[in-house]
Amino acid sequence: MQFQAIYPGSLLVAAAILVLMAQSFVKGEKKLTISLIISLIGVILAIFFTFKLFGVNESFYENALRVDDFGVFLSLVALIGTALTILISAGYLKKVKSYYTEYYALILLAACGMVFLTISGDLITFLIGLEIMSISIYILAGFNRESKKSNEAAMKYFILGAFSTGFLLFGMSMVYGATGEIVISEIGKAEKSAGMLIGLGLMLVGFLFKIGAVPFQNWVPDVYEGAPTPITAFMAAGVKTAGFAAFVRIILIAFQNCGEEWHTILQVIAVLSMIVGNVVAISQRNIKRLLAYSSIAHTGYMLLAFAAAKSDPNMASSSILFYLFTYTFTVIGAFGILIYSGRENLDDFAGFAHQKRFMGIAMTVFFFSLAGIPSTAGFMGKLFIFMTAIDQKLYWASVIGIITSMISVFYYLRVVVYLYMKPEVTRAAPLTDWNVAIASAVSVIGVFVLGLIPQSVIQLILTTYQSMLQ
Amino acid sequence: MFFTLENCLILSVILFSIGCYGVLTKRNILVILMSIELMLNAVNLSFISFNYFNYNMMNGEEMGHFFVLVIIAIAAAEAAVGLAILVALFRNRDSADIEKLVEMKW
Amino acid sequence: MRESYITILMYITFVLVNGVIMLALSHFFGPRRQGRGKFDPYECGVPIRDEAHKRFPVKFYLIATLFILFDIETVFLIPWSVTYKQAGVTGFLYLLVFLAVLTSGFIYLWRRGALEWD
Repeated sequence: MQFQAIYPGSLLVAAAILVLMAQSFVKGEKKLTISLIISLIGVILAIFFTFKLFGVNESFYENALRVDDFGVFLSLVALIGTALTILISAGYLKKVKSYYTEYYALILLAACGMVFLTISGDLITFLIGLEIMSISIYILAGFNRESKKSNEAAMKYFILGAFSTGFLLFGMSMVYGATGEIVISEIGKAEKSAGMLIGLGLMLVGFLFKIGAVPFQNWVPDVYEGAPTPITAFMAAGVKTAGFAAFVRIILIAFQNCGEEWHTILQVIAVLSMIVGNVVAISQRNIKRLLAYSSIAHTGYMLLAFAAAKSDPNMASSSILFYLFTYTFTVIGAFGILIYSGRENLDDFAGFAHQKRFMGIAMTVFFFSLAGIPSTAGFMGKLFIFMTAIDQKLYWASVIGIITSMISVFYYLRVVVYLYMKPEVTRAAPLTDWNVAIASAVSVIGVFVLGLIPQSVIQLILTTYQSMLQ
Repeated sequence: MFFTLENCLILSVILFSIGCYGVLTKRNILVILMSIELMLNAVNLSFISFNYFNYNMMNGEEMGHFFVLVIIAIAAAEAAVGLAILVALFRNRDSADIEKLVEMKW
Repeated sequence: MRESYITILMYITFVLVNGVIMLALSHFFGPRRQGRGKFDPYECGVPIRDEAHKRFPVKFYLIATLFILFDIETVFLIPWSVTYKQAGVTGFLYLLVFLAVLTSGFIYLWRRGALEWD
């Protein structure tokens, strides 16, 4: 039954169309509620049907889709991220009094792109998934049409995104020329050749742009700061998850015969990303911008695990998967609280925990998890990554990673200090919105479950690399 | 013969480099959008020439052509979104100069 | 193969030479008088009213953008129409799904008033 592979994606598209129809035919404020309900139902159904795809491990539509545990797991992570984003968006739209429900339709379409990106079996599906996702997010980044910052963020993201797509495509054409194949697993059977190496180089440039790693990180802080806050969360969680899914699949499967060169390159890039992200973040007073630099650093950690894929690709891809899962909960929770409090600057957060006790605790949990304090999800993720790296004898890179994550503890804890120990400043009262509260609660639970009892998730993840090879 | 795979690829690389140069150095956003289109079309040329010269199209090996169709559609969608973002930007600040996008720094 | 292009080459050469000769003759032998109408875009046509570099209303961009989008979708119809016998009923159904999604986009545009000029 080949339709089961496209159920999640088609459901998301159908929900997006329904939201657009609601926007066209329903009058007044009702359409916000209707769209929220439609999109939540759509995403939850998509999660359900994705869940049923576990253990299928087959190719569909003449290898256009490759449904394996690896892709299904990352689809699930991306969809959970989408559901949480929709919840925190509801509060945001209420706060900025926006009645444009195209917002939800675009989020659903971006999620559809992510689903197809994670289970893509050939380069065409990969390209289409990537572009559905990216184009939706270009628009979402500029959704505050009146705000100059938002315009600027959208324009920068668009130009650099399209530019990197150009490189990715040129790389694909070289790979196609060298092998005559566009199916990822078939490309993997080809011998190493000059065309393949050129293609690998160009595609690496494109991928590193998309995930925001160091020489190509300049757009990240600006876009994260200018975009609407829930979209920033979505970019940090969903886009990164889907981007890494395609990255891991294409590098580990399609380029498995392409030698050892890229491991060294990735190791250098990982180290640079960790240093730049963590060091520049120290001087940031705007929390959105701080989280942007911290996201560059987190990309660096994941690339460090990737660089260890030389002799043990299973551990490398597993630790990346686990890290993405933990990072999704943590970062969406943190941005959710930014929305809830309605502030962005560090100084405005002084004494926030006394004003709103539960939200203060939740924010502390998320920042502890970002810093990697034990008993949170972030700690398990980092532990997994550094264990993999040290197993593969990447000692220098691991030492630098551990030192920089020590540095990162400083600026994450500074936020917590502001929350509790600074005298309270009276600011505009935070909005009380149940959707944001639910999203934060789910994220806190996720952070603790992954931090304290991660065994079952890890067991599931450890089999995913094998499923990709079958 | 002038019409060979090497020459087509050289043309494609030249076009790609021109597009790349345009994106990196031009100040007007419209010119940058055109340069991006040029890059995508260079990719199309390279796909088509690989498919035409290296693989037998009559034998079911026409994937390069499908790829080009998809890229054309994607380029159109990207251009439409880029122009829409540019119009929104222009309304707010009355300029299409990329160097004036300095709302955020460090 | 290459011989068959010789006629084209001859044709191109003839056209170029012909054009150059005509321009040269009128340049050397034609009378020259400077007048007021000499620098108008259309010397014998209607007088110009304003500058050619005008700003267009943004509505043109919107319509043009929408046109590009719906125009390019035919890219996906052409492969189907070429192979429609092999594609059969299944292919036709897939095409209908594609068109339904496209039409829903069109309905949305219409209802949101993107196609209204004023």
